[in-house]
Amino acid sequence: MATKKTKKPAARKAGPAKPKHVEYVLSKGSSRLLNARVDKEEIWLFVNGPAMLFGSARMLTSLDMPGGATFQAWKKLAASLSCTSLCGANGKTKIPVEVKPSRIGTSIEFSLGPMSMYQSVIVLKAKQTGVTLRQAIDDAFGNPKGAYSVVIVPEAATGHAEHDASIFQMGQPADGGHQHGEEGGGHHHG
Amino acid sequence: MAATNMAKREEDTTMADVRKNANTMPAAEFENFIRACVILKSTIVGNAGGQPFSVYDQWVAVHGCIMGVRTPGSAVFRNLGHQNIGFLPWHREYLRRFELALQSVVPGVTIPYWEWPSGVPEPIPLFTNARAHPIFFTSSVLNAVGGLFALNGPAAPPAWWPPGFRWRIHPALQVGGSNILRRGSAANTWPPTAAIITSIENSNVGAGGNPYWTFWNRLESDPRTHNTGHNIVGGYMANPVFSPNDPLFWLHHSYVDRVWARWQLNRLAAQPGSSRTTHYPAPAQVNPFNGQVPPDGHRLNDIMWPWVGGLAGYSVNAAAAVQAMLPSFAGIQRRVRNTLDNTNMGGGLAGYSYT
Repeated sequence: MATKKTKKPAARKAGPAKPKHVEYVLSKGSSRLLNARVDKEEIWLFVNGPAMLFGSARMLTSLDMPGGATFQAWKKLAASLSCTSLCGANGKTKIPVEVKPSRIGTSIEFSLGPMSMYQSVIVLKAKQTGVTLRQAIDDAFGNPKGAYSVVIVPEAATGHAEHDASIFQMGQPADGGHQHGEEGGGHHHG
Repeated sequence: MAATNMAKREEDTTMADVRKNANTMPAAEFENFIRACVILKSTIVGNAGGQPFSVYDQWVAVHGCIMGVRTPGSAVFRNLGHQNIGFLPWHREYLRRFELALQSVVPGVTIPYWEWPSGVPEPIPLFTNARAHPIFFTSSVLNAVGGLFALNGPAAPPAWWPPGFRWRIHPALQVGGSNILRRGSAANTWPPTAAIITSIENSNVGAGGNPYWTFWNRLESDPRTHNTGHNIVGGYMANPVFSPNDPLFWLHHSYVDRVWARWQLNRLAAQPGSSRTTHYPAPAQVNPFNGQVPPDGHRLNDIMWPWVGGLAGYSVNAAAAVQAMLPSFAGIQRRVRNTLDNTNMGGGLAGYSYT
């Protein structure tokens, strides 16, 4: 009995893995309107001068309330997202994603990291593994039929002058975080 | 590409001081850099807050104080070394003066540069850490730096190592009560590709107007550049005030300065007849981001603290113990414009180039 030769499917070329995230930089003059409804699992925000240049970020949508942007939808979206700050001075910190109702509607708000003149990376993603931000957003707003957008709007920090370093207590960590004790009994050369 | 080649040709011209790639320079030369740092760190020149401080500590104090300086007639303390266009000139002056301090104890030594795209200069003693690499990039736990900077000193100290010396952070220059060097990053956003750096070094060099604004902003703040480098190393390097406690600071900023130097050469090549001075924003030019004139200390003709030549009216927002460490720069007055040519800085600083 002749064996039937089966043609092997051509092996897929192993290209570089596509990143699961999209990156945005927040610095002087950078975009003030960042697309959140992306086909990626994570958004990485490179925040320069967290709490000094940039304070917090809001998430807004072009949808109106009848179109799906209800308080409940925002609440569902906020509950489906996780936000983490990666800061070399303060370590990895969970950042609350908060629903912010106001007299004109609702939005989501989150901090942009502990205070620093350098940089923090904020990672925003769906809590459910493998879910893109577009999927999480569409699901929360009831899968609207028409085109719409959801954006992240970074807000300038307030409360002190842009270059005013008086908030740094010399010799203290920038935001009181990540304390660690001395080792070696504090020996000092002399 | 032509501009890049021009940069290469001009950098090949012989300068007395040449800063080299930390990854590829001769090990003996790199060791000389470490040796000079250790000598400065072990040379006690005073007492602040009840603790002796060293020459090296004085340089850390300068960086701490630049975070908040009040200039004559100003009501507020401002950062005269970061977050605006003076970031590059101020650090160029600061590094060059530190380099000359190093040379005063080890003649001929220069500050190596950490070539970001190559990753981490792991094999060299400065970065040796028994727990190093995985933690360095993936853990949020701050860990003590090992090797020559280990808690109990080097296991096998070189012959030049001062007897009993251990690298400790002066109490007034500490963060979070840690008296030893620590690193450890929560982020994993390093290194930049060589293409990113090439792009920055050629950023709008042929454009009209003044592209320095966007060039500086990219170099200080873009992902995988200056700010990210501080964040990715973590520990002391991630604290803007006292980051020079970690000697890696100098290598990091040497590379920042190299990118600027190469951008300047590329701009000169792309704009025949132009000068380095015209590549820096004119004194009254407003910031295109917000329409404001940069603050004191950042503009072309501004005096840069602490090199104010004895002018009265400056004060700094720092603890008394930190201020007590500041070295004297009596009689030295330097302006932003004095720093624009790294190969000829004047004022007794001579010049330097990069491989």
